[in-house]
Amino acid sequence: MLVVESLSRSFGSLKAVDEIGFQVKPGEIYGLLGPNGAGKTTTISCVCGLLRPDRGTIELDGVALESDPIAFKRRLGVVPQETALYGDLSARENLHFWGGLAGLTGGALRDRTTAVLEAVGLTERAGDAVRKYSGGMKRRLNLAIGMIHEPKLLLLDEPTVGIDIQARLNILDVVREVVRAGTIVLYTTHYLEEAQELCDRIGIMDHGRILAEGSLTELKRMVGEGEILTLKGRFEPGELQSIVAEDEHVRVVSLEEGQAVLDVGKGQGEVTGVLGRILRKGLAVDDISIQQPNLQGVFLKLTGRELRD
Amino acid sequence: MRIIWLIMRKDLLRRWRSPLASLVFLAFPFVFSALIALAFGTGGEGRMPRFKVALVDEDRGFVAGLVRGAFGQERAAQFLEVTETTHEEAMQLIEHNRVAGAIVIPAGFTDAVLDRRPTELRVIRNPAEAIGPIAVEETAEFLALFLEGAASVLSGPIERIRGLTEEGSADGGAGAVPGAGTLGGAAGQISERPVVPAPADWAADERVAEIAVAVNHALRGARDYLLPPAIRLERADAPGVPVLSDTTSPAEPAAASADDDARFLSIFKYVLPGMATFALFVLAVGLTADVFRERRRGTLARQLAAPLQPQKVVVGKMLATMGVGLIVALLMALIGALFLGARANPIAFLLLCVLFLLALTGFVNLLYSFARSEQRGATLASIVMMLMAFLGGSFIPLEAMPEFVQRLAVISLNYWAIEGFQALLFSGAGVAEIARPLVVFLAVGLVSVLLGGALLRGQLARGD
Ligand SMILES: Nc1ncnc2c1ncn2[C@@H]1O[C@H](COP(=O)(O)OP(=O)(O)O)[C@@H](O)[C@H]1O
Ligand SMILES: [Mg+2]
Repeated sequence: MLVVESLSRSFGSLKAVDEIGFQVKPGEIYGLLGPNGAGKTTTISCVCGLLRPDRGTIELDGVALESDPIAFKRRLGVVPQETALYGDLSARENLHFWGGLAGLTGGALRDRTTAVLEAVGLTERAGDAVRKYSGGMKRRLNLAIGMIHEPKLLLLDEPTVGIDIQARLNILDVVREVVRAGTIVLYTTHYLEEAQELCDRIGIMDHGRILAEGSLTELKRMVGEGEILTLKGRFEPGELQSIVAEDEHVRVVSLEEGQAVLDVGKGQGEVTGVLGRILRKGLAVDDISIQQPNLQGVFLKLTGRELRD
Repeated sequence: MRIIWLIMRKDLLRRWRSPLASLVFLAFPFVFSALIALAFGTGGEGRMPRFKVALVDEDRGFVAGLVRGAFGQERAAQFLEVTETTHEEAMQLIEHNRVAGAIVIPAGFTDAVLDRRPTELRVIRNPAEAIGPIAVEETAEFLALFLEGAASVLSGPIERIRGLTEEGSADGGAGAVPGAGTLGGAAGQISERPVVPAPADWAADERVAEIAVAVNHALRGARDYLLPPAIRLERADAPGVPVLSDTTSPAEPAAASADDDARFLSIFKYVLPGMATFALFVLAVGLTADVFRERRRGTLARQLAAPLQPQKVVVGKMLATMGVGLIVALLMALIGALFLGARANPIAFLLLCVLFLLALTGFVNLLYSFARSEQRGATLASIVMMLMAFLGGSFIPLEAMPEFVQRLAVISLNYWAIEGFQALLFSGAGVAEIARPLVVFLAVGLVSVLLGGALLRGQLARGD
């Protein structure tokens, strides 16, 4: 079990990670979902011992990172956000090096190298210099290195950024496989669909904080069955405020000049009703979007912003 | 130990995969030795007098313009005074002993170089003079190699330059001048590159080609195997001129050229320790900068996330740099032994190399750990490196320096290395005789490794 408690890390005056906490069980994928700059990489760096947190504790099966970093790291695999590989070396040589660092030797190292190469589908190109690989192949090797020593805890920092569908599906499959074997997985992403498909539990992160946490169902329940209505146009916040102020079905999520995000209560047709009332008052609306209660909706509701690539 | 070994092996394997980037360092001592041999000419007797040389341009093309321009360049002008003449005038000047020799650019030279067809620069020596003709020949040979190198490196640009100059000559033949500037600049770069290359682009093909050309020049004996020459140097002694020195007698051309070579090589050997020392410094500065590259690519962070003590990463990388340095040092020793007849006690030589490399890599590593960025690290290291090279006598023999510089020399690692190498080369010293440099290196090495380790731990604790 990975237990992170009140973790904080600042860079100067910027609170990159601000009092976050979460727990991940063996065989579970915990997703940290948030836009760029949310603090995901900073969190991962703290958990793998690269950054010393200002505050907070990190424990894996009762072993605190701070008290015994080497023992902690022996059970840890990291797949960093950048593909940290040696371009001059082949995939096999990379795996031998990183596997060796992680503590594998001899036959075990060779067997595991073969196994992970197979898993990520690089067996045929294993002898080629990594420099010649495509982005997707590098990402897959990046993943293979992280899991070569069968770590108890696997940290994945946006492992599918900027690659083709094929490679992405392969990576997601491999991660599912690893979890099935009882690994603890901490997975960061800014792709909603990925979090939705892959993760057992999701922490929604923004500005260094985890705003909400739970399974997809739990998160959706938090938004209620209501829908998210986003209006854009040439209107003043005050105008809209006065229209919806008495409307019991409407909760204002965010409201600024020219853009409003409204949480419209449950019940069929509520949205159209609310929309009708607004438009009848002559509000200058140019663009309307209605968001079903999914993760996008949850994010929107929590932050007033959409999560985009 | 296993971890250190893994990290070192990984770095050595990476080097092995792109060996040219490391071999470039081998070229430095030779390029500089050749330059200094030219500048000092007679080997430690001080500066050569200026030699007069006649230049006969029967080609009048754009590349010929380069040759003419090159003679006007600072370095050549230091020891050569060039007069342009016709062929006949040149022969008369030689006959009257007014010039040390003549360089003839034959008709069709420009076209041949641009088309990369073999051609020749003709050198006519004045057999009455002993040293002058060597200088003339050296210059011509440098030029031939520069042009050759430039022609192969810049074959694309040359086509464009040629287009320009042909247009240019159509409106009055002035086109050769800007062209000469361009390519002359490129040639000048080859000879005047004492500063470390930016770490990022060692492997750049151009650089490698340039260096290959320069090395080629240095390894006169081996040049035909390394890069088949496109421009042949035809040497001839002017006939019918009274002979003053037996060694350059036209009757014994073989003996004469053997003597020239011997002179050149002895100069070479004299400057070799200084240059080799500088080369190893350049190598240490260059290879150690790899830590910045690893930082940038995230491989350093990834290693630090592995179950290991961070200092092991540093030690492993240091050992790899020392390994490459040792290979380069051994190659230099081999070349010194084969071409210059240099002999030294092998055990003492090895020990000196290893400890010098330990001190160097430790010291450079320490320098880098003070630098916040790769840029600043490279600048700092270059400054310190050049300073130490000058202070320690890598470029100019210490005896030729003001006294206060000589007193400061002991703070330079180069000084101790040169002292050691010279003792090995010229006084047949063994381990006991070079104990002083060995102890200095060991001390510097150990102190900088310990200090570097402490600094690294501090940096990691702060998380940067
Ligand atoms: N080394 C650093 N120095 C200063 N600021 C940093 C550093 N690393 C991250 N940050 C800042 O911290 C915030 C969180 O960054 P990061 O954890 O990389 O976010 P994410 O991975 O979610 O995109 C960002 O505002 C980023 O600019
Ligand atoms: Mg990130």
